[in-house]
Amino acid sequence: MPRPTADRSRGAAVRLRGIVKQYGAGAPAVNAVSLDIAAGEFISLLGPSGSGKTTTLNAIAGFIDIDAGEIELGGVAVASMRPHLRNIGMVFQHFTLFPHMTVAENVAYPLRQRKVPAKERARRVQAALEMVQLGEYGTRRPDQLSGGQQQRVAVARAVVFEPRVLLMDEPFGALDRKLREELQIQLKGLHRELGITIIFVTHDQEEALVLSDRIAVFNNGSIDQIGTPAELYDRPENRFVAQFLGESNIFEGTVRDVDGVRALVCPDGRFVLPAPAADPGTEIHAMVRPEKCRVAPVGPDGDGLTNALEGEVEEEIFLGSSRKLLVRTPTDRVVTVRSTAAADRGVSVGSKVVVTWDSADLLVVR
Amino acid sequence: MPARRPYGLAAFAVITGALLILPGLIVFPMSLSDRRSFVFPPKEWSFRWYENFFSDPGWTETLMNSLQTAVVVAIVATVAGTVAVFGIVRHNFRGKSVVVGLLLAPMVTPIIILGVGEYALFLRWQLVGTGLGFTLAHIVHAIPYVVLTVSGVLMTMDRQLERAAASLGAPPHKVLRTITLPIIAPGIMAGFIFAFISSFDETVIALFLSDPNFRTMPVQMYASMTQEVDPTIAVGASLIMLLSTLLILLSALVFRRRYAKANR
Repeated sequence: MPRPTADRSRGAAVRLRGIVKQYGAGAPAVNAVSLDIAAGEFISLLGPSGSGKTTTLNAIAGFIDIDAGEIELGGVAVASMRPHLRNIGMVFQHFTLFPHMTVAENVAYPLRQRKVPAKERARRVQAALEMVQLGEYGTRRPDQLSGGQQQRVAVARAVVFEPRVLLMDEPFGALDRKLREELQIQLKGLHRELGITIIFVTHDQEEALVLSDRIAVFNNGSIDQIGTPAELYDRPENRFVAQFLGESNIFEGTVRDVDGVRALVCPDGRFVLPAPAADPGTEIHAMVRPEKCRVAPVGPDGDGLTNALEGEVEEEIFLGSSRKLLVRTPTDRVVTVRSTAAADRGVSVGSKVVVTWDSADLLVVR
Repeated sequence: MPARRPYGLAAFAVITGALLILPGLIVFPMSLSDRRSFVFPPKEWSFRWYENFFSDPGWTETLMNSLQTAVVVAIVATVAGTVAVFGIVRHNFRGKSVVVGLLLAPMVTPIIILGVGEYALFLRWQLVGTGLGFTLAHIVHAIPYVVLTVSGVLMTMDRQLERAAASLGAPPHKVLRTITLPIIAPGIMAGFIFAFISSFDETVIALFLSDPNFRTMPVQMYASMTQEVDPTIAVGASLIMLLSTLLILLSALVFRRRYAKANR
């Protein structure tokens, strides 16, 4: 294998147009999902279980027939094409190595289907196994491998026939955290090396943030927001995205002009809203991330409009490089603050504190 | 939970097993007796009844009849039962539970009723006393064994494996041949063995369908037992037990290898 080159031309663009899939009566599992995936892009379909992300993936793979919509792979409409003709690699959550074949036979399987001559087949199987650092394991049986090794073989098997698109359905979901992180890094390298399009389904927001060029957040059968990890984190468009990606403190209230300053008025207090805010009188949600918050011991009273929230530290969680403080306010809500250990010393469980943030960090979400 | 060794249970299992098998094992020493009697234990040992068995066409012919019938029955019942199981396990259709009931009915129907019914029907079709008649009747009797064993493995098989194979470029018939069938092969093998044994030692239906032209070994044994005192029957019984035991052992070994692999 050549050294990493980001040759994304080896991937195929994937276009989804108005995909609908309905199981029985009730709300559709997938409702009018449209998505443009660039050639060579690493995109994650992120959402809770039942949000339609796996159904969408299975529709791309061809395992389910969609009720409406179009699917294009590299410009070719495939919605009515049988799965074995789509030439898409796929890695599943449950280990799906064929138990009656050796590792090498597993990896050779797609090449056999394509009638690749024996000599070239052996060479490509070996290359694929070496790519996932399992070059010595060809003669083993799948049940002689660990879970992580099995998934690496599954990846080798899914890319050995050089598909232009690789689908992954929570491939690391059954592995422990440390192994998962290791494999995520390997997968990133592999993506760079192969330059193919990867569509990755996960319910783990951290995993999606680590891996993806872009993330599509699924909720109730449709996509709530598509964007880069930074876009989704810094500018979530709605409450669901704000809560699903990272931690958030969300306030619900009415927009009012207070002393000529536009502010959110809610039971917890009055908070200044950043520049292009909503019109006065509208009901909105506003969010601030825990790491944008600061705590300080209660001091002299402010003017009531300084984004200050009084409360008592109820829980202190040590996270190594930072601390997480849960602050209960007099209105009985809990605000999460993440602070680096050096700052705000002297604050601990039971402390009366004031939580503050820069008004620029308060985001209006739908 | 603390691991307490269940000695009581183990003893119970051993006693139950012994009660089941010991009365049958008595045929082995009896077949080696040198007297024309069923005195147990025999005073002198000899192979004379084995000699008698293999030189008497009455025994060898019926043994061959039994073997031939059982092989054909096992093949047909395994193929038919396996195909039926795919229909039942993989598809939903109206009246499915009725079909399942019909497929398993021969197992719960009192066998004497099956025998009477088949006798009446086969008399009209002139199949009594023919190899074909025995084979057809035994196939009906054997299919439930295949349905039970094969549906067991097919239901527990991970269907994602088939999806994986399809995603790798295998058309449905190749998925069946290279993935599904090899994975459920132990269940099909077990079904084949049970079908074989169910035909090989089936007696009740065979008594109805026998005539002087065609009979199977269990019928010959029954006749021998009721008409004369002849330890040759102990030889036949020993052979049946030996064959059945070997087949069961074989299937147990196949299964154990699979389970050992699956659980490692």
